[in-house]
Amino acid sequence: MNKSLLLLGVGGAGTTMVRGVTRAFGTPMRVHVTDTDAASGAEGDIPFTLLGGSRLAGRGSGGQSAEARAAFEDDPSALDAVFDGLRTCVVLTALGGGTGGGATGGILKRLHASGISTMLFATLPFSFEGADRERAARSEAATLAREADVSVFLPLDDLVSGKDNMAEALRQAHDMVSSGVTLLWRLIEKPGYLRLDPERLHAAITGAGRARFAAASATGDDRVGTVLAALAESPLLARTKDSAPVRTILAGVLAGDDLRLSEVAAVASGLSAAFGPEAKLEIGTVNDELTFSGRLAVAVMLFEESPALAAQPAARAAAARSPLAAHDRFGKTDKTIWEGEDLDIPTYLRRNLTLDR
Amino acid sequence: MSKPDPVAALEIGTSRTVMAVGEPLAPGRVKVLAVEEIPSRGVRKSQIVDIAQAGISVASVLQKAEDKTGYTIHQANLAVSGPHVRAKMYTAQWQLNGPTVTDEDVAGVYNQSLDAGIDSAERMLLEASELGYGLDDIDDITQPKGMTGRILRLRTLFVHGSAQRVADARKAADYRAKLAITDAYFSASRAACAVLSPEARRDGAIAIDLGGGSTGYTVWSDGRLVHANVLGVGGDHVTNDVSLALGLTRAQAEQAKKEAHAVVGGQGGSPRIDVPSSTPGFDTASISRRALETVVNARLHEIFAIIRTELDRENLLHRVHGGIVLTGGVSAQPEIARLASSVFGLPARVGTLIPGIEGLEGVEHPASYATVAGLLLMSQVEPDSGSLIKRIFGGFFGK
Repeated sequence: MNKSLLLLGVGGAGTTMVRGVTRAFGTPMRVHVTDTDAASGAEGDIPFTLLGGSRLAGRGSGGQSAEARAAFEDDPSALDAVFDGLRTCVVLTALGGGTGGGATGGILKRLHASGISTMLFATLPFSFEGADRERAARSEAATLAREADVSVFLPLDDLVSGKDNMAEALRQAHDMVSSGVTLLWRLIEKPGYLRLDPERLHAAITGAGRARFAAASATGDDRVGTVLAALAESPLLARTKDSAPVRTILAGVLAGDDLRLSEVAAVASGLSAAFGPEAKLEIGTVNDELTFSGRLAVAVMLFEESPALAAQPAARAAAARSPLAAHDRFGKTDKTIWEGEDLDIPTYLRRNLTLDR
Repeated sequence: MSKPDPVAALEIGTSRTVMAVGEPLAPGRVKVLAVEEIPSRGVRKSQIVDIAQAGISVASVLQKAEDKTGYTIHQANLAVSGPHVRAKMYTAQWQLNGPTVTDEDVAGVYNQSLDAGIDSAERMLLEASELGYGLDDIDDITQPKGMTGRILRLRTLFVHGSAQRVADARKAADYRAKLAITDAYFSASRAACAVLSPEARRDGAIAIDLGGGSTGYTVWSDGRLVHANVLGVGGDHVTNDVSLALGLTRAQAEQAKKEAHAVVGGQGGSPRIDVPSSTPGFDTASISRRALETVVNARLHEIFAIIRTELDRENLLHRVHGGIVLTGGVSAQPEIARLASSVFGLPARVGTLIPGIEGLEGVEHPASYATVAGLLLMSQVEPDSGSLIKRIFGGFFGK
């Protein structure tokens, strides 16, 4: 079990998704869940922290993000002991009011202030849940995107379709997120031909910005072709009007002992062709015969480029070296963090300033 | 009458190691006999990361100072900076032994304050500033002895640093130079005392010491140190930013940044700057002045803006009537006072040494040596006045 990497669930949905990951992963992993509702900690053996016990008495926020925010701010250090020794934290939650929308921002800020890089996976509500929830979720997403190193927002509409039963639809959506994150975890923790270790992940995500994420799996002779087609058609990876060009493709290929190098090469070239021929490709593999016998799964994360940087080739080159390059100079010292910003990273990069050359 | 023994001050900074040797003249006055510096090694963000490398720098600069003055230096006071330095306000309370305040009561509340000022073995007291006594419901009492009441209070600002970091600096001083560290002080407040007159400290001033690895700042009001802090960002970050943005080596970036105005598009200078390669055989780089100044301005503006935000939160800006004074190597950046003034909305200037510091009149940019000059002034306090008491600004620095 890697102790520098934590999976943290925030709120009821976050807790559910974390449970799904731990079930699917099978072996011990560092996890924690937190909620304003004591019921989230009542079942299972996942460590739990109740937020705002003195304010809400464990009854939950009643869908009010302001209540949840205040609950976290009552004791912002409530999770500090949980964060001890971490380098990277993956946060799962749901937006649109409640604990996920209210407390996650403070938690991300706290993590960032401790120099821990953060990867946020947050679901956005179904469109039929109403304009108010959608507006709340969009507003929360905009805030959280500034706080997390990498933020992936997953519209529930894109995760499931054709389900009349909302409970079933939610369950299926949460299962999909859980299985995607499980693939990511296997990629990091299980040995393969090409290992994506936690430090490589940490370097890839620090300050990376918005990302898109999806996973697909297939069996059979043309399993690579089937997976690539599914990913190419996935609404989760599709460009929207807000999307920027893809800067980096982070991909994990998970299979049994029958994984062929030609398949890895085909996945790499297929992903590059589909999502960004000029994007940098980081690929890792997992060989897990017990879990993936005969099957091939691919998890993909597309890191977008900020528009301001895209317009500046020189700044882009500098950004490609930073923040790692920036930290080379200060690597032996503690990071200088002020209000969640890493001040060791050049100011002009953090402000996306145009350099008149 | 024999000449007094020389006094010495050592600053192991991120960019340079500086040693000053002086001759005490009178309380509050010193004649600087030598101030020597060499580039530092083994220091990042004001913290020693390689004791041997830092120790070699100390030995080299000590040798230069001894050669210049003819004295053999065995001990020096040390300037301490870096993000490990913190300030803490504490109000001690003392129940009077009788109906009026006696000397014993004053000593009692004072000792209680000192006990609480540093409550961890991992921290070391660098400075303390008495901010005034209170007696029951009366505040701002300057001399409580003889007054009638029940509870005596003493409000003190303590500046403390990591004992381990100071121990590392002591080891570096001892490593090759065998130089003993007499005592350690907060570099930004020593620099402030070298450039702020007693009147300026009474009127209220912000002193910002822009070092290579960190930026220390102090706020003075009514003649007292009322706030202090350190931001772990300094000139080294400016160099790093320039190097990354313009594709220059660190040596080139260090050279290029000296050309930059702190305000983008400042007065003078050609639109392009040639920066020779530090490696023979490589081409000279031609960089855009505007791009360079954008990078430098962004970093310096951010440093000032952060300090301003912190002081706003502490509700201290309204106590500053005398403006801002800048010291440290980065204060040599052209037009930096103009930038500071625009960020704070207060008058700002680069520091000049107070008249009590003699001997540095011909030195280029004396604000770079404010810390060691201020340390020399501190060295005049008799050791047997007590290592804690001498840091209280109620003495000859206070009024």
